[in-house]
Amino acid sequence: MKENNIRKVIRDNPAYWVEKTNIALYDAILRFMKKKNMNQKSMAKHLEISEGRLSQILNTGNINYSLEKIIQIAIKVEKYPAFSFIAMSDLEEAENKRLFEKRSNFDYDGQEYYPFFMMFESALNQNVELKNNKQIKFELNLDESRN
Amino acid sequence: MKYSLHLSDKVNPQTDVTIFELLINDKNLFEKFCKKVLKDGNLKNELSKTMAIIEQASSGYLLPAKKHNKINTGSATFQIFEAKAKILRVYYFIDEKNGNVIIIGGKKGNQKQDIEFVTKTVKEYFDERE
Repeated sequence: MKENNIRKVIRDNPAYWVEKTNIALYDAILRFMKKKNMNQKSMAKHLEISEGRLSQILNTGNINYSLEKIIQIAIKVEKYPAFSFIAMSDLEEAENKRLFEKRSNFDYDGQEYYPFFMMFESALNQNVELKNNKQIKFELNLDESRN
Repeated sequence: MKYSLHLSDKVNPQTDVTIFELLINDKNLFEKFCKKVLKDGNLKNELSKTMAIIEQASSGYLLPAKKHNKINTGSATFQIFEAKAKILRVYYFIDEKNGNVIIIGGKKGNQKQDIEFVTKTVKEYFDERE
């Protein structure tokens, strides 16, 4: 099996996209809690879910809610959920192009694709920059992001 | 040189931090592991999840310790992480000059031996680079 076939098997597996989405929402919830200095009790109330459920989400990082509930939670943490569906061939081409660029150490200036759902900062927060459909970059504390 | 890096083609190449795979004497242990998982078939989901975890970690997302855990390397200055699914683990380390480097994958049952192996490997890797 060629390596790029391994990538295709991974990319074609729904579990891959579910995990990316779970992590994106987990990240959004946690950052919101830290920003607002909220504890689990007040956060659960804010999200209109039980404390036990929130504790489970924060512990496991798995959301397991309906699409509607996920969108509700996203909005409550001041994010707009933006879903996009990209043709498999387009994504494959974009990934191959990017890989080629990295391999050849060449500055690639093309469009970058992010086919999973992205959490857009609320219009209330003006410190975010959106460029060319690129994923939003946050200022990060490396230690924090690494647990 | 015993150790070299191979740009990973098993992940999305658009992560903020570039992801590599470690070659040991030109052998890619992680690729061998992936092929075995895909051939066996029953842990494809888990492999896909661990790849998603490494990608998200490499783009600065916050992750729960149940999915992404820093390995205790004692007094060593390098950092090793494991991306965790129910049974599978994928180990990688941070090479600040290059990016995140995947070393091997393994199963929960072999965790102790795998961690010993990756810790020894990463130490040798940085010793060789000096």
